[in-house]
Amino acid sequence: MTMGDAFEQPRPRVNASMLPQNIGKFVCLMGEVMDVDQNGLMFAVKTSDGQRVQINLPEPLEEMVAGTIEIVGEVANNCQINCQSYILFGQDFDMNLYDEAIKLAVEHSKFYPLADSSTF
Amino acid sequence: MAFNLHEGSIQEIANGGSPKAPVLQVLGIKKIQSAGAQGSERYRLLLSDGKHTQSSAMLATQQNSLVHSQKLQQNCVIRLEKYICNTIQDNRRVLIMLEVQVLGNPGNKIKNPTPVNQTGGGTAPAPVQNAFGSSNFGHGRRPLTSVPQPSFYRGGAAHAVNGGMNRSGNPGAGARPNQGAAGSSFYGRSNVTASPGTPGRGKPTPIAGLNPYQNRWTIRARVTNKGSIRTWNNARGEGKLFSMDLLDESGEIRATAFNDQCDKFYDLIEIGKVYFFSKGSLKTANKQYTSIQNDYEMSFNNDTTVVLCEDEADLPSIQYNFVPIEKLEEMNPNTIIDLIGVCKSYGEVTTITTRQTNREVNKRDLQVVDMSGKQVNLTLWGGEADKFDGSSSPVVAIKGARLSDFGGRSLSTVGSSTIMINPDIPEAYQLRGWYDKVGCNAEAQSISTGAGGGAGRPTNWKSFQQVKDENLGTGEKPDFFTTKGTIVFLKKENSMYQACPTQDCNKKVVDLQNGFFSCEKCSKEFPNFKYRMILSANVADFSGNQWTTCFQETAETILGQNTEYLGNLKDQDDTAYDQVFTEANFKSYIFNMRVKMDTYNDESRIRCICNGIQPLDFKEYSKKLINDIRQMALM
Repeated sequence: MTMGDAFEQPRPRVNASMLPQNIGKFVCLMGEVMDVDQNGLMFAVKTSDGQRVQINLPEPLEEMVAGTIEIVGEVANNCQINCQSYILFGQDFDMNLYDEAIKLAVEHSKFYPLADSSTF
Repeated sequence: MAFNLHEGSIQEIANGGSPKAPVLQVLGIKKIQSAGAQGSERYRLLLSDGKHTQSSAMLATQQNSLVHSQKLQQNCVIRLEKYICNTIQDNRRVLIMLEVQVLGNPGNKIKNPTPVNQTGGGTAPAPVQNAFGSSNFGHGRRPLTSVPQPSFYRGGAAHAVNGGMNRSGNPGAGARPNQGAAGSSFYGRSNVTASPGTPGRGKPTPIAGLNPYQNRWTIRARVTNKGSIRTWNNARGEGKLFSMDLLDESGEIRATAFNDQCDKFYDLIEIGKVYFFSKGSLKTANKQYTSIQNDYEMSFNNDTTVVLCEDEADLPSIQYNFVPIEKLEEMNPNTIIDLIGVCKSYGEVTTITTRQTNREVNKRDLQVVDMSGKQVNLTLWGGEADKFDGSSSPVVAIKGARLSDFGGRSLSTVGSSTIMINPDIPEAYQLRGWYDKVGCNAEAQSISTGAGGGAGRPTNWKSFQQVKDENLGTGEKPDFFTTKGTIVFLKKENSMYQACPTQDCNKKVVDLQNGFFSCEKCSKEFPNFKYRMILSANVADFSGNQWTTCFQETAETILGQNTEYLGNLKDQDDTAYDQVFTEANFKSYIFNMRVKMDTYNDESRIRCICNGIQPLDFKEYSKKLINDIRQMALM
């Protein structure tokens, strides 16, 4: 999988509890950075439903990551995420509201279908 | 049965404290008969807390029946539910017992208390038991009986010393309405010269004790509200007045100063300060104009004196009687009430011209919710409207707002209202907690809807397609709706016009081409003008778009600059002027719109006017969307 694959397919927004159903697929996960490993190749986030998920990187981090982060990556068998790209948000983010929103989107997935690149 | 007296409470009271409902023993009861009295009797009690005794305790006359019925006797143990402690000269304290609960009677004195040492007391504590029996009652200075009474000071309630009563020849002496916590007569007896702080009159009467039948009183009160000077001019003459609210520990009362007193006192009296007031006139209150709970109200007259009091520590500040919003529906319109709630939404300042006086005045509408889940519209006027900042949903407490039946029930401030934003009172914190957790998401039911498009509608969210589908604006009355939209086009041309420079006159002026501009409304010519904005904007949402007209304040918010600056820019720097419009494009706001069918020369069109915009609070808007989705899911 090369960088950029992720962006050719839909990557639904998930929380930790939805990871098992998405093993092998690309997802978009938001959370708060908890701890960063010294080698810079992995870090943990606290997801919008309060669980801890480990994020693995193909190359070591080149900058400090902290606060709210959005990760796009593939879900590994052990429910860790192989990160392809990330975006850092600020500190002001309402995780509870976000969790509500993505749960609603899943619940009413009929109205929030996942697009794939072929529809554009 | 063993009784536990609250040891230490008497010392605490003597030191100026107010322990709650202390349990004490009555070691003695002495009836004080005023000389030549017309049946007025007071009871002086010797109280003990097991450790100390207090001999200066007077039973409030409304409790006299306890003694008459023998429920209260020597050695009874009581709980002093309500009391006031007044300071008379030499820092001595006298306890007025307002409410007493008899707990029982052990039949003998509990322990061996000694007289309490009152702070700074100049008098030596007299031996209790003997003194009690003697007519001197322990202090040797104040003979209690039959000395001709100086008509010196007297206080509000009943037992005002007969000397005074007789001298004023008040025939109503027998009937004593409004018994406050009096104790006054006791003090009146003594040849008291000015005690510390009172301007030559003895100790102050509690406000609750004021009544029209006693005229020679002094109260010590805080001014919690002061209205502005109002003038009137009618067939009977003209005059001016201002009103204020006074507060002490026992209650509140409204006071009004007319004409000369109005002039004399208006600048002298400041809100929040404490003064001694004496010799005002009292009459039955006109409850229509105030939310103050008192049967009487006061007018200043020529004899009224007002003296600043330096020591104000123990007087409470503003007292509120909040009414829950849901109760407003049952109340009669035109009553004055107090309210506290969270400002859930608010509009812009608008200017209207009053019908009666033909003056232009600013107003602003807020929608306030409280824990009853209901919402009411509150209108602010003038300066309060201008300076109100409703961002961050503040707690708004208002004292003395008028309830009207406009749109069902709505509230308006009047000249004498007091508005506090985020006040430091427990109800405010309660509301804050409730609103942040629950209230902000709940859909409050407005009691201000219905008749009258002016004040108060609940937020009527519509998409632009819905506005067209539902034919909003085609009826006889204008329709109002709210929507989240994005500006997609701004008409730069004709967005500004030259207006009359007079404050509050916005009429377009005619350019006389000679350096002067003429305003028809003011019938004057000016060498200058001010720019005013009328901005046509096209606003879009997911479903459609709508042209709308935005006036001064809204236009300034959208463009992010004030009109004067823009006017100069337009004349000087075209490029920069264009830039302002480009940057303002594609921004999103919450729009409050008014739509109405307009007929112009046989042509009918829907005109949409923007009454105000609010910046998009993403969190709040998300909450609303989540709510909407949930509601739709139920359908």
